[in-house]
Amino acid sequence: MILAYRALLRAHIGMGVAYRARLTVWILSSLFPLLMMAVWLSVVDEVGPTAGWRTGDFVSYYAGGALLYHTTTSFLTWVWDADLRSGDMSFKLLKPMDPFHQYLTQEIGLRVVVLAFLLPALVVLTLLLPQLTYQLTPLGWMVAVGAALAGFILNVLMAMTFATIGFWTTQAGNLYSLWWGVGAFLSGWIAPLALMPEVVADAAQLLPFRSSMGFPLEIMLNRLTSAQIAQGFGVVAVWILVFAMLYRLGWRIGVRRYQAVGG
Amino acid sequence: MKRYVRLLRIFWGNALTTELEYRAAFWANGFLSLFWLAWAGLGARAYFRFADSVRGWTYEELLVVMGLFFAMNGLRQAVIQPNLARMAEYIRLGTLDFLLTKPISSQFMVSFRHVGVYNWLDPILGLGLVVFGLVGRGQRVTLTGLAGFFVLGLAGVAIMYSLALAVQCLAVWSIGSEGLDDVIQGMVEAGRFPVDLYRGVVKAILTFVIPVALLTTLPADALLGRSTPGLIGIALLVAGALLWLTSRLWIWSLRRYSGASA
Amino acid sequence: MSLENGDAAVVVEDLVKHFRVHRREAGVAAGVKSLFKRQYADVRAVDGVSFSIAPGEMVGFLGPNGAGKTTTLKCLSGLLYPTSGRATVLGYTPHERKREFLRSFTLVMGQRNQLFWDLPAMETFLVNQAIYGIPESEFASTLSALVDLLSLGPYLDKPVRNLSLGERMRAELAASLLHRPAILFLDEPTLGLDVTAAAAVRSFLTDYNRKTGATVLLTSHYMIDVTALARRVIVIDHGRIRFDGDLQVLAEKTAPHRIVKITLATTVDLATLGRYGEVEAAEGLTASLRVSRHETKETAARLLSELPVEDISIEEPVIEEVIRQVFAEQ
Repeated sequence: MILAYRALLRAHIGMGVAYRARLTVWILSSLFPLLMMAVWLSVVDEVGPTAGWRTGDFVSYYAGGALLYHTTTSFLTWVWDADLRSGDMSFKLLKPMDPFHQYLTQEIGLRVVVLAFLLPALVVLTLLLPQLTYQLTPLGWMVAVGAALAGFILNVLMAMTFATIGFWTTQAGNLYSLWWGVGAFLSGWIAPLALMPEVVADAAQLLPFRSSMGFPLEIMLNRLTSAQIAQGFGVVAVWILVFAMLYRLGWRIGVRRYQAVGG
Repeated sequence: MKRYVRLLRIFWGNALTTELEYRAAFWANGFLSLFWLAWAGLGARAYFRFADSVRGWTYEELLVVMGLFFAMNGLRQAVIQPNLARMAEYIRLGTLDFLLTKPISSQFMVSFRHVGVYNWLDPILGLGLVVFGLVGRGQRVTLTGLAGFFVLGLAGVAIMYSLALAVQCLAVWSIGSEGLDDVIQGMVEAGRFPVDLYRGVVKAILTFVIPVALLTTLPADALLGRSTPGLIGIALLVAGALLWLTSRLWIWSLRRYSGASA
Repeated sequence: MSLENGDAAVVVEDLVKHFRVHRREAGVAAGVKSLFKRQYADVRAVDGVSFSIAPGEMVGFLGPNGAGKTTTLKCLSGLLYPTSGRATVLGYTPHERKREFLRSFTLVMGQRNQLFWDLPAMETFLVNQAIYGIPESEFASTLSALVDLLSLGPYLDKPVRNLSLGERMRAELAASLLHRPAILFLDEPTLGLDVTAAAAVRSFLTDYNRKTGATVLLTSHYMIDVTALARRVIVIDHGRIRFDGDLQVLAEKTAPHRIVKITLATTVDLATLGRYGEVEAAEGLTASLRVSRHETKETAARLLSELPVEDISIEEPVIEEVIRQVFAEQ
């Protein structure tokens, strides 16, 4: 199994590298976090520090947010859907290895390539822009990375769970979009959760969306106590378990369905 | 001219029929259009928790810009994106050569051959949001305002189209043909908010270099009674000039492509 | 569950597979209607099929498009489960998709491949080695044997998207056989290939079957695939088996004649030609005659001695004709 992972990761990283031009264009065209940041900066210009958040806070938040978005978001639902429609899913089913691993390594391979591009870029920007700053100890950074990793795994599990819906409908991708559409308000993407109405911020603490965006970002901005960090990790762990089970269920009955109707 | 209209009917009619075949998708996409509109509108509310207006724009006024963005973006997704995405294929498979032998304008073919029907509701909903914002503000739209809006709106569409065509020329020069639609998406995306909300250098770039401001902010200004005839005139000039320039650029690119010039 | 000596490799009993599909007419109006209400129909892709294949046999599955060939193969490889009836491959029930079962066979589909598109074929081979858990030494020897048999040397390092269709198919075959499966299922393997490439695939399959004793079941609607490769042919149409046996027997049963083609030095009139057999075609200096199987040798000898024959050849009737006759009969 380890050998299989090594070989698959090698192949998928290779494909990510082959794909790098397209990836670069995609990253550079994803302006949304920068747009949101720009509006917040204008708000700060208008009314001064907003709920204690200053210009520097917004810049650091959204720069980190952009990095997290491109490295932890999973689009596997659409990849899976494409495989189902093209019949390529058959190839994955014929191998003596659960397609879960084949898709997971594909996702990791792609994100590794994106990270290799974005992380140096962020570091350079931190050196160039005085407002872009993170006050973290090395331990703090390890915790932040751990949180991002946990968020990534949760996102992959969620994406694959929604993907199994594709065995019954062509709308799995849209359902996943809807899920994240609502989730965007609860993840810290639309606005830092500290600036959202209390109801939203409170609900977000217990939901899975914050785990890959708001939670690591708040760690990076040093806005969480140890207790809050522990709670955040607890929440992620529970959701990972939940979606792992949901995925297994969806997969098992999904394959039955595939074998019944021919995919 | 009649020939081109007829061709459009055939091409786009086929696309519609194909789309109707997937009925779950059809209804789902309609619903999603509504969802994303509400999503954007609600999201923008977050900024106005702390200020009644940002850089001279209230929430309702911002909704007008956002509605126009939805309409523009809807147009982009329907007409520009499918054709841009196919450009890489045209080049790689040599379909471009094939198109060049047809007695039809190649510019027409690479621009309008394909259409995406899935977000059919977007432009309608976008304009609906515009009305919503205007009503919320109690805005009385004058005739001149409306006229200005139409003119500026058309200018915006023309500019968006010119940008897309220019990017397609890049593909023909073998500068790169992957991800062209992403580039235009990024450009148009900036039109989501009034351009005044960006600061300094960024705002200048978006107004003068890549005139995204003209896509949504200026037409919104017209409806809000804030634009001047001078501005409208300039916008028209810019749009016309860009349209003419990129058309010439396309022809020139093709000549280079087929090796006609040195 | 493993195979015992003497057991059949594949056993199919009364296999039935139905699908529900939605019917649609053309046009925008019908399209809009289908947004609200759909009509469904039942398609009987496989309608009661039974056969068995011994280990090491090479069998051709012949039939027109939509006959049920692909569906049968998918049932045998576990991609589909039967509506009713049974299929057993190497003692396993395919649709249970046990890991040991998945390791013991391979499915190759024409014009489709599992190779990583942007990478050289070698990368896919390495991944398959890891997935199937093939030890290094075994992998090395299998790979070199396959590369030889398939003449893949120069293509291993080129990205798959840069290969021609024929080269891609050969790489696909290599990727599919690295784990030395006991059974090969091939679904239209020569589809879309040019004459040379198709011949290369056929000769490879013959060699492979001979060298390794693997059981081979391939489907095709190209007659030449079946005549060149398999002595045993199963003819399937509309989900049912029309014939199962020796290809020659089939030919003789349905068309007990052969075609004698002659090239003449000078023209001979139709009446004279007609004395030797049924004239199928006659143009200028060439003619082809239908002659009963038993009289072929005699007739050929007579033609050579009595007419100014420059060249003569004796052929089987075109297989399409044979098949058409089989279907027409039922």
